[in-house]
Amino acid sequence: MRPGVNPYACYDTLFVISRTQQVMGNAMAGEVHLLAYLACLLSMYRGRAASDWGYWFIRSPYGAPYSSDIDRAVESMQANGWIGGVDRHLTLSSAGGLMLETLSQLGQNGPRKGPLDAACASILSVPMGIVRTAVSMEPELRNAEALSLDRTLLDEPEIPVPLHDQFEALRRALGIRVADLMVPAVVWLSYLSRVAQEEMGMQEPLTP
Amino acid sequence: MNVNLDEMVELARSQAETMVATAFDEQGIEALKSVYLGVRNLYKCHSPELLSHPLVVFRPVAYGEKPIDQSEAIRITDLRQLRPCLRVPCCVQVLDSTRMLVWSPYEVNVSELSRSAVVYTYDGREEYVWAKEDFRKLRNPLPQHASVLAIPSFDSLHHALGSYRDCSARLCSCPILSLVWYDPDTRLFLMSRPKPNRPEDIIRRSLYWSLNVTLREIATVLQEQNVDETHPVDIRVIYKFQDHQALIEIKWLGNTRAPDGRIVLRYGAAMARKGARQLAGYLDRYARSVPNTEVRGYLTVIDARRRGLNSASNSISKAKGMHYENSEITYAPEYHTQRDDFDTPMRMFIEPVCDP
Repeated sequence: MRPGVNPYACYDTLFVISRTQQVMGNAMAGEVHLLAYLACLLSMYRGRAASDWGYWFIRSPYGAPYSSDIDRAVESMQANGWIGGVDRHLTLSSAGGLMLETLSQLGQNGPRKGPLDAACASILSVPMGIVRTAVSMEPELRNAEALSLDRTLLDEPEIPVPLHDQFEALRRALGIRVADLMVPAVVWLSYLSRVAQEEMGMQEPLTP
Repeated sequence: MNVNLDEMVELARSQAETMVATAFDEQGIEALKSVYLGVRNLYKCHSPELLSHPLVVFRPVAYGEKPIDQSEAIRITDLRQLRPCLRVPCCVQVLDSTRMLVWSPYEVNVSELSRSAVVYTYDGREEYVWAKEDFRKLRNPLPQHASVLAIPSFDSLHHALGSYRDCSARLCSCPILSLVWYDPDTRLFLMSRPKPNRPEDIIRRSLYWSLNVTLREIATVLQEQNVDETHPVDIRVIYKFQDHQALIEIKWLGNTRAPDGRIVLRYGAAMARKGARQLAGYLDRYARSVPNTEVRGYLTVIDARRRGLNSASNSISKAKGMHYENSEITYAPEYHTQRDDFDTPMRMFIEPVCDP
């Protein structure tokens, strides 16, 4: 790995590509940023601070979450052969798969597995396009959009109030504490997707 | 954005994941993930559109559990081997993402099976997940596709539009698009309504939603986007990490009818040619306003033309209803052959429901 490449971003990139290629055959760069950001949010849902995630995201000029650390991680791991693929379609090489296994053993990555696994598991039952639409409706990205800022997301010491309120509502709605974050992930994405559809002017939202 | 707690509670109750977690806790969710992945892989080899018999896919929650006698099961290691099994009612146990046990023909008591397993059922485009004798319906954001676990995704906008033409427009199987008709049972006239429910509004929402769900590697899809201060294009697609955008202009052909039965508008091929001119103009203006961005234009023509309609028409023969099925539009000038930034226009004929 090149010096200056964020090790957390490397792990997350390998993890997301590995899981996404199981479902979709490969991963596209934007999907890696999207699912890593969703995982970061789910980690916050579990009470961890955004600063614990190890790297930051911004809202790209086009409204999507983006991390330059992930970009650098992809570039670096393509150069050393851990990530392969044709054109923009990313896949793990066998060396990349072994590296993911090795990195998974490291204690520093332990707390990331649950949120990453849940974010990636959500695409098993929620189409990627719905995940993208739903995440674009989460309060932090919406707030950045309203202010027309390409600013760093989630960079306050405390969890932003609108996000906190959504997480509280989610906890109350679920009623049960499930260890697997896939459950709150899917319910939250469904809720945000419904909000998006209502805003789009759909009279009867098609997804819950 | 205020949170609607009631809505979130209702959503939580209606999700399969919540039900499975309540029934079987962590182990159940692991089984559910295996079932979802197994079904997705199965549908990559066998389209659910072609399933004419019920399909049951399950995974026991406890490792080693055998809720069905395995002595008569077929062990599958290549999902293509499943094809003959799916021609009859079939039950599949997921071992891992590509290995399965299959009982075929087999009709299983799903409720009983779900006492110790997470069970997925598919029957006639309806999908359920079962756990501990409880069940939840899987909701499909694009019901024109048979299963939420088999919604396609596309890298190419041209292919995504082609899929919309074939799967959503042709038989009007998109629930949003189905709102466009004066009488959805015949699909002869489009309904004349004011904004925001004009035919062009409904068609735009339908296509917009479909692209939103099926396109990969895009940052966003936007509706009614101004290309300059006064000219809005119907849909703009912004690709991620590339200075690349697409403008989609939508035109519809056919007749609209007012609620009182009057024919209000009659749009023929000239409207499609007008759309081509408009789109060429948008592309020119947009290229000037964002010079470092590669922009490509797509003209989409929803074709609901029927031959010989008048204000008294309430039904149509097959010959008249399908008259325009293969009636391609001649464009002059042919921007799509003269310009590099203009995709070949895509006409999407919607079939009427004709007299038997």
